[in-house]
Amino acid sequence: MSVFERMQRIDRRVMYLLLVVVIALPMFVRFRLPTAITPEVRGVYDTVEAIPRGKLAILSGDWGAGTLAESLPQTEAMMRHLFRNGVPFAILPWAPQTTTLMQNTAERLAKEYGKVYGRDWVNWGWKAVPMVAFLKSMAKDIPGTVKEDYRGTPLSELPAMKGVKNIDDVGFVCHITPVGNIMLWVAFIQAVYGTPIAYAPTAVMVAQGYDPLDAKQLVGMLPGLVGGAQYETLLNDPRSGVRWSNSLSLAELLMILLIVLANVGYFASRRAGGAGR
Amino acid sequence: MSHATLPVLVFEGLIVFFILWKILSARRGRELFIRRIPGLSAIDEAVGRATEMGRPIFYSPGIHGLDIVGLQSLSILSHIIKLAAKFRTRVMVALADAVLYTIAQDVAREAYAREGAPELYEQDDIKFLSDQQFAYASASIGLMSRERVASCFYFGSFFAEALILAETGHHIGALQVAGTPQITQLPFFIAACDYCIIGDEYYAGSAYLSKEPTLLGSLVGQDLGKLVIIAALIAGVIGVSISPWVPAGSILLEWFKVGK
Amino acid sequence: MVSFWGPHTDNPEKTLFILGALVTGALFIFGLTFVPRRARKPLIAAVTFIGGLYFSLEFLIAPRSSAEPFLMSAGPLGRRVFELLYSGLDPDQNFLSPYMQGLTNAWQVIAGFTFALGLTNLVHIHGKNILQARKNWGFSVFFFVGVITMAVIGFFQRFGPGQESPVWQGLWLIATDGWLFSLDAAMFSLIAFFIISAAYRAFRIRSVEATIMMAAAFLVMLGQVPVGIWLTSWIQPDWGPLANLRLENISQWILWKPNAAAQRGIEFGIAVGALAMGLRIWLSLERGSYFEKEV
Repeated sequence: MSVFERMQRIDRRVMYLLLVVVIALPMFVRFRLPTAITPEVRGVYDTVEAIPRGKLAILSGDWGAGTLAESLPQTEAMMRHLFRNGVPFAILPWAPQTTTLMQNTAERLAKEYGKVYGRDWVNWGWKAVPMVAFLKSMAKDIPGTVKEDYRGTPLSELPAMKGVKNIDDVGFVCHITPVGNIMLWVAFIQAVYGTPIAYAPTAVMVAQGYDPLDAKQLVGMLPGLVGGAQYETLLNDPRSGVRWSNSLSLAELLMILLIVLANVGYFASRRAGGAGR
Repeated sequence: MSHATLPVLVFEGLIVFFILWKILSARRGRELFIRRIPGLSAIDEAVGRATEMGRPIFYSPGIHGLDIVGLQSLSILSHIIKLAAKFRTRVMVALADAVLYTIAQDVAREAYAREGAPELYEQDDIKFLSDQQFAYASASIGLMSRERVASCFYFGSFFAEALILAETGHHIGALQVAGTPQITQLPFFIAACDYCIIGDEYYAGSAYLSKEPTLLGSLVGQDLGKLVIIAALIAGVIGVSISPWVPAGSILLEWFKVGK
Repeated sequence: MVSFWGPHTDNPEKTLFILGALVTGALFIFGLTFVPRRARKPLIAAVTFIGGLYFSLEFLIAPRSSAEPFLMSAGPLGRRVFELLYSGLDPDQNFLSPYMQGLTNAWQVIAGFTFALGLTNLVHIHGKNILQARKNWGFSVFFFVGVITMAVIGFFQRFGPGQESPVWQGLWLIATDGWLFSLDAAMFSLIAFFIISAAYRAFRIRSVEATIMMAAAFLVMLGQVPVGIWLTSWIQPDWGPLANLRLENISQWILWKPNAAAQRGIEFGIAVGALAMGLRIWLSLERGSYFEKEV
C-alpha cells in the first residue's frame, strides 16, 4: 500500500488515540487562546445586566450528565452572573437528573458568593407534567402551578419567591438544553408575554437557534461549550468553559488535519493512477 | 402563539384546502407523479442485502413517543416488514417508548399476517430497550453488534444518539438508510449512512412506498401548500423592500408578526 | 417526610375519586370489547375526529381579547354571543380553553399506565434469556441486578426512614453520581470519537458540492473555537470591510445567512408535511396496514 493510500485508510483506533491525547493535553499544559465574543452571547449578557430590580430570573434546563461538558459551563456562567448582580433566580428542571445537577452547581457557587438557598435562589424541582401545559399555567400563576420547591417547601415560605405571582414578575429566562424544545418557550411565553428568553443549547443543536435569533424571538444564545467560554470571558472570570474550549480547539485542528491528509492522499492517488477512495 | 391569528387562519385554511382537494382528486382516479427519492428506493436494496447475507435487519423508530413522527415511522416499518416477510428475513425493532412499543407489536403482527406469514412474527424481536436516550443508544448498538445486522433503518426522531447508532452500523458493515425531520441530526446521518432522506421526504415516505392514491394526493396538496408559502415569502420580500417609498409595502410584515 | 402515597393520604375524598375513576375506566374498557366488529372502526374514527376537533377549534377560535372588540360592535346579537361564550374567561382564553388542562392530565394518566408495559417486556426478554440459558444470559442477570438495585435505593432514600438516613443517602449518591451520571457521560463522549471517524471518511473532495460543504464546515468549525479566532487575530477590527475576513465573522455570516435560510426552507416543508399527516389521521384518511387493519 502506497503512502497516499495509507493516508486515506488511517486506522480509526489511531485517530481515537490521537483524539484522547489532544483533548487531555490542555488539562496538563495551560495556555490561553483569544476568545471572540459573538453578538448572540453579548445579547444574553446585556439582557442579564438590564434585568429590572425586583424581578426573578428562571434558569430552565433538561440536561443530564451526558451533556455536562457543554451544559455545565453554560449553567455556571449564568449562575455566576446572576449571583454577582444580586438577581434571585429559580431553577426549573425538566428532568430528574437536572434537578440534582443544577442544584449541586448552585450550592457550590453559593459558597463562593455567600448566597443562601431560599433567599437568593430556589429550585422548583422536577414536575412530571407536559412542558406546554406547565408553561401556560405557570405564566398566569407561578405559586399555584409550581406549589412547592424540590424539598417540598411551599413557595410562600421562600423569600426569593415573595411577590412573584406570574410571568410579569419574571425578568429573564435562560433555557439550557440538549434537546430542541426552545420554541415552546418562544411560542407560549415570549410571543404572548414578551419575556426575554435566551437559549443555551449543546453545539449540535445550535443551528436551530439562528432562526428565532434572527427573528428577534430570542435575546441571545450561548452556543455550546464555546458559548459558556465566551460568557466567562465577558464576566472576566475564565473557568472550566475557557479551559475546556482549548481541548475543543485542538480536537478540531486534529479533525481538520486528518481530513486534509485524507484528501491529499486521495488526489495524489488519483494522479498516480492509484485506487483513490 | 396560543391561538390562531387571522393570517394563520387564512394560510392554514388555504393549505388544508389544497391538501383535501388533491386527496379527493386522487381518489377519483387522477394519476399523480412523484419523483424518485433515492433513500426510499434503497429500502428494497437494503432488505435484499440482508436476505442474501442471511443476517437480520435492525430498525429504530427514534426516541420520541406516539406522535406524527412516530406514526410515520411505523408506516415505513410496516412496509419493510412486509418486504422482509416475503424473503423470510428477520426484522428486529428497538423502541424507546412504551406506547410506541405496543403499537409496533401490532404493526409487526399485522404486516406479517398480510404477507401470509404470521408464524414469522416473534414477540422478542420487537424490543423496548429504555426510555433514557443513552441507555437506548448503548442497548441498540449492543444489539446491532451482537446480531451482526446486515441492514439498518433509522426513521424517526433522533438526537445525540443518531451518530452513535449510525457509526456503529458503519463499523459492522451494515447498509444504512436514515430519515428524520430533525434538521440538526441530518449531517450525522448523511456522513455515516449510505442513504438519507431529508426534511419532508420523511413525510412522503408512506406515499412513496405504498403509492396509495390518498397519500399521493396529500403529497401533491402539500406541494401546493408550499407554493402558497413561497408566494407569501416573495410578496413579503417585495413589500418590505419597497416599504421606504410605499408604506403599504410593510403590511405583510405587520400581518405576520407574532407576539411582542 | 414525603409519603409514597403522595399528598392525598389525608384527603379520603380524593382517594375515593381516584379509585372510582380507575374502576370506571376499567369497566369502560371492558365494555368496549362488546362493541360489534363492524362498529369499531366508525367508533374509533368518531372519537379521533371529536378529539382532534377539540384541539383544532381551541387553537383556531379567537381568544377573548380578539373576539371582544369584534362581537361587542356587532350589535345586541354579538353582545349576547360574547356574554354566552366568553364571560368570565381570561383575555387569552376562548370557551374551549378551560378544558385543556383536564384533557392534558387525562393523557398523562393514560401514558403513565404504559410505563409498566416497557418494564414487563424487558423482564420477559431477560427472564427468558436466563431461564433458557441463551447466549450471553449473564448480561441479563446484570439487567435484573441493575433494575432492582436502583429501584430499592431510589425508593428507600426518597420515602420512609431512608430520607434521613446517611446510609441510604450515601448509597443514592453512589448510584447516581457514581454510576448513572458517569455512564451517561461516557456514552455521550463516544460521539466525539465517532465524529472524527465519520468526518474523516465522509469529507472527500469528490464533487463541487462536496468541496463547498467541506470548505464551509472548516470555516464554521474554526470560527467557533479560540484557535481559529487566533489564526486571524492579526486582522484588526477597524480595518473596515477587510475585518469581515476574520474567521469568526465569516463563520457568523455562514451560520446567520445561508445556513438559517436553508434551514427555514427545510422546516417549512417539514411543517407542511406534519400538517398533512395530522390532517389525514384526524379525518381517518391515513392509509397503511396499521390504519386499515381489522379491529
